[in-house]
Amino acid sequence: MTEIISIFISLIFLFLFSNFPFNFFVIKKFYFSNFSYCDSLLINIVINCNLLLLLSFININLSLTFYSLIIPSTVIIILYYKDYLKLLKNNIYLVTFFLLIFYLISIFIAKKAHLEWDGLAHWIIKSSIFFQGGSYQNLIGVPFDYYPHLGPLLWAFFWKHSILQIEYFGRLFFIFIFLVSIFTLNSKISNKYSSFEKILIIFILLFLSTNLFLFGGYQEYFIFFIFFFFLNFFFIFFFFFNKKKKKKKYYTIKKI
Amino acid sequence: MKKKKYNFIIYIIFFITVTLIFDGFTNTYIVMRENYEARMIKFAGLCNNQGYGFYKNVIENFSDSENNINVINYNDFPPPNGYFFKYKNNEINKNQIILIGASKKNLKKFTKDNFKIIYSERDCFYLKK
Repeated sequence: MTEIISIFISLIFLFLFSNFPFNFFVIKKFYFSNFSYCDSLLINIVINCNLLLLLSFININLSLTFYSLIIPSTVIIILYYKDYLKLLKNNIYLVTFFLLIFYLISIFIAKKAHLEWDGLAHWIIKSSIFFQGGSYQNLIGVPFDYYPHLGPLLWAFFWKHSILQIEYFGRLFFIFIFLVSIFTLNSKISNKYSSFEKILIIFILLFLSTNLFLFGGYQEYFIFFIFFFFLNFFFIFFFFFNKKKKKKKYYTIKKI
Repeated sequence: MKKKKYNFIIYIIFFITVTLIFDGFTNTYIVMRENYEARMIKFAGLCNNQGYGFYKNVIENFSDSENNINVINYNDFPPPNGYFFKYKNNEINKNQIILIGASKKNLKKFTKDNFKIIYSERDCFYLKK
């Protein structure tokens, strides 16, 4: 039971991690009206991942970084709690579905607990170094030290800041970013469909693209997340600027 | 109101179906019944598969060295030392080795090299010079 509660506490930490520095309500109000909440989560995750990558080169304590991200994020939630509650109320079934899928994949990983081949042979060693307080320099000489270290760093970051500090809690981050990517599609699906149909479409996409084996320490879902991020924002900005250009053309024709 | 109730029931049925598809009830039961170590030994193996249980037993009860112990896994799995890796004691002591899933032929190679069996379980061996 403690492990199950810890999974949900880790989810809260993951949510807080991805809720800062950009506040969704400010972005939506002043910059892009076609932004969804998942889009803001995507941006925040990428920014924080890059921040962690930079900090990994200058040996800054992981706990210090963790609290400097979590505390402002909590403050933002407290300040905008009414908006968050409204958002939750409007998307209650979608949020429940997200929580359910996150729990189902997490509990599968918790049950199996062990790492698959690449996870055990390549990645866990790097992750252990960061977990034990090591730095970028300590990676020299470990197996496959020329492999990138951002994935293991994030793994160690959430492993270290989980309640039970069991290895698989770090891997919950990969589930989270995968689900955020898939759930971002909700706002891209036409409004012709009902909310239930949208959830059904998301489930089908999720079911077809989930390979539970890859959560056994592989970095594939992290790569998927990065590709998805760039594709998503290319899509958003392409349409946003196209719309603006069309509007401008319309006004110039009217003036003539 | 009726439509809301109908919607709610549809969602509940859908969520239960999804839980069944992902085997959620069974997995929850297993996680609640068995602790982490028991599950690790069950899936990563005691002396089979990755040999997690044997390695853990050796470092907890038999090894007096702080260093990481070299492992050769003869099963078709990676060695389990990644789970217990200590970067501060990364110098491998060449006077001790763990063999997982080793046959008599594999063991002979090491006993010829003056290694002595300190602890063994089925086809797993902890050897020291």
